[in-house]
Amino acid sequence: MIDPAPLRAARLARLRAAMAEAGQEALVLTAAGAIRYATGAVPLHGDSSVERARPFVAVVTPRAAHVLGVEPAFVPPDVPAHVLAREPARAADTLAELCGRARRVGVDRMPFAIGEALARALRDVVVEACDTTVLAARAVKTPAEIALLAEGQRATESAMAEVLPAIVPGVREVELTGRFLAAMAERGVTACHVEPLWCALPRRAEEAPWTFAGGPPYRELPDERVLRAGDQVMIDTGMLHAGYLADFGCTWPCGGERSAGDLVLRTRWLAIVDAVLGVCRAGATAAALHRAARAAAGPGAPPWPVPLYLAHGIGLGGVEPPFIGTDLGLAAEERIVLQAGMVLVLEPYAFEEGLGGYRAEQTIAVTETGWTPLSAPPP
Amino acid sequence: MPADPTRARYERLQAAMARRGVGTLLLATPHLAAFASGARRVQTAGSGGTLPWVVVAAGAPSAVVFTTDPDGTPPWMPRDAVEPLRWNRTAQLDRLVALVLPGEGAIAIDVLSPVLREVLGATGRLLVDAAPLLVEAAAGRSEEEVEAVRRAVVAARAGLAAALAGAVPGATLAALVARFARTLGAAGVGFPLTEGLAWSADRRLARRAPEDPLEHGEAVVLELGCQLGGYAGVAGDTTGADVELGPLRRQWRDAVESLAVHCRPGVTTADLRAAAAAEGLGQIGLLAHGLGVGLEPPYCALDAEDVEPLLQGTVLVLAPVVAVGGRAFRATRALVVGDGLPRWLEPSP
Repeated sequence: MIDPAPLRAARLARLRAAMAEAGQEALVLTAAGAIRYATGAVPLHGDSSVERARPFVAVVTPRAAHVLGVEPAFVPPDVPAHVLAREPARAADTLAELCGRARRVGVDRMPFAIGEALARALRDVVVEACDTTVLAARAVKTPAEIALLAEGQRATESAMAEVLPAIVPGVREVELTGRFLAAMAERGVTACHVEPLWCALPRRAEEAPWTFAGGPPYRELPDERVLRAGDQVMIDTGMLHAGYLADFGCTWPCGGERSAGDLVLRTRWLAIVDAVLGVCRAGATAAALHRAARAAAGPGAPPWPVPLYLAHGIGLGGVEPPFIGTDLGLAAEERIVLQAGMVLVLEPYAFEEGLGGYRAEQTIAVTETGWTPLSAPPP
Repeated sequence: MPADPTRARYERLQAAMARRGVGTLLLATPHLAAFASGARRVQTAGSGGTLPWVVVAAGAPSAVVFTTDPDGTPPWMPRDAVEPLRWNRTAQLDRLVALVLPGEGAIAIDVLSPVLREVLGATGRLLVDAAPLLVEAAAGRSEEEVEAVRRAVVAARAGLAAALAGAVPGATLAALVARFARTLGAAGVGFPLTEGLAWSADRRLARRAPEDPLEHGEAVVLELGCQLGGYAGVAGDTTGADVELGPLRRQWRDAVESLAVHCRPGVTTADLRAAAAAEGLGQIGLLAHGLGVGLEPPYCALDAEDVEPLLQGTVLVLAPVVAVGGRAFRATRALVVGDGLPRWLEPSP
């Protein structure tokens, strides 16, 4: 269950290099993914209320890494595991002590009471955000990380193959979740990180009045809706395999038969993805991928839901930068340069009034000369 | 009382803000933001991002929500209160400040980060912890809300029963979670509360990994939870592979009945701890906790020192551990804090 030592060592080395680059002598981390990245410890996985009830923290310095609030059996033997005091002041004092003589400390977001107490405990220290440091380390994956991402993706695709035949007329959207979670658990994957989505997409703008201005009509959240033959069921799921997020997306026709209109939309989606992959390689900018997608899609709304994106990074604990196609804009994307080892999920959306929508996902790892697929083509 | 539970919650929240002199409430933690606003979004595990995505101004007709999922906002929320989430952090911070600046009184917030401290501190207004305000607003639940929590508990309990039925030698926790998951569709559950938790039912109470098989003669503590209709349900029990747990179960039931007698308005978490200590009870992390849109305060732990009063209407999950010899037993049972006899939300497991 605990991450293997070479994987942990490689990640911690990257994190410490990023700390040195940022001039941060200690990090106080509260996000489960960041804690696992830094230490290999496996915090209990649950929703935000579970984390509030059973909090955990890690402190990383150039010479040591400590974990608090995680059971010792889920912390690598070379990482000291501590109890996290429930009283904010006591917890903060412990964290400050573990930071040692650090003069500049990067801190994650925390519940207010402990955040206040930590600020007092570190009053003689420069305290700043740690996000940039952590994300800089995590942006480029090691080969072992990429292998885990691919493994998780394969397990998800295999589980999804069991669920697709159940998307038939009369099934409620929400019913499909349990089938998928069971199929994943049978493959040993139990950490559901993002709610599995099974949504009949709108075929016309009037069916999605909530859509934000400037974006294509879209629906995201499943409910008790009963699926009908031919519904374009947008699927998007994310489970954690060894802590790494597998992100599966496709649009599946309810009943399994694609209409001519569905095929038109799928072809457009493929054309957008092909255009993006055509310019994707180490050294390309995020803006180049953005422009390729817009050129392939033609004039009009962006080929992705607003305020979602054309692509996002993925790794330990969830989605992560780079985000391409957001309100950050092309100018910012010109400064985002792809590097070999970055892993991207491309998820454009093709929509045409009357025909409806098609959204799917393709996960790739950026290489020096191009890219390599980590996911199969969408079914 | 309005029929929509999300609206009733919002009205209680506004009343609590007024009582506490809070002019603006900012929330970043997903379940807290959902509680305050009534907005649903894609359920993502973890504590959420750094920046608040819900802003509540004192007296405002609804929260302002920043979201990727506008289809998840309640029908009573004005359209202009639903804004696209900004990925540009500077732009998002600017918008937050623009919403905060016109307000008066304290700014209550659930999380702190260096950036938020700097930006909100520059307003010159007092920053306070949102947690007590949210506890106050969560209490006094309407009967519709209590019923919604009960339904979620029932769904979790039914799923747990399916999992327990699969607890045979060789079965892994993951296999038990698969049995749990198969029950979720019929219940309409969209998101599990946790990955599925198990601990060894012995003195160590060590957490088990999903791949660990259940050995012959071994017992494990299980806890499974789910989100149903925006409310959380949790159910725990102890099971074993060819293990006699009857006497321990009876002892646990008696202990829970004794604890329940103390679950009245005004009784404190310290009182509950003392009662548990007098009975020689143990815990796995928490002796008891609230339940609503997620696991909620009060977090009553034997190793804590807080003195928080129980509030009328709080749904409380009692989860003590009894141990005899080398064997331990833990289950959960939910009740509603009130005067008189305990009002259980579920039969004794």
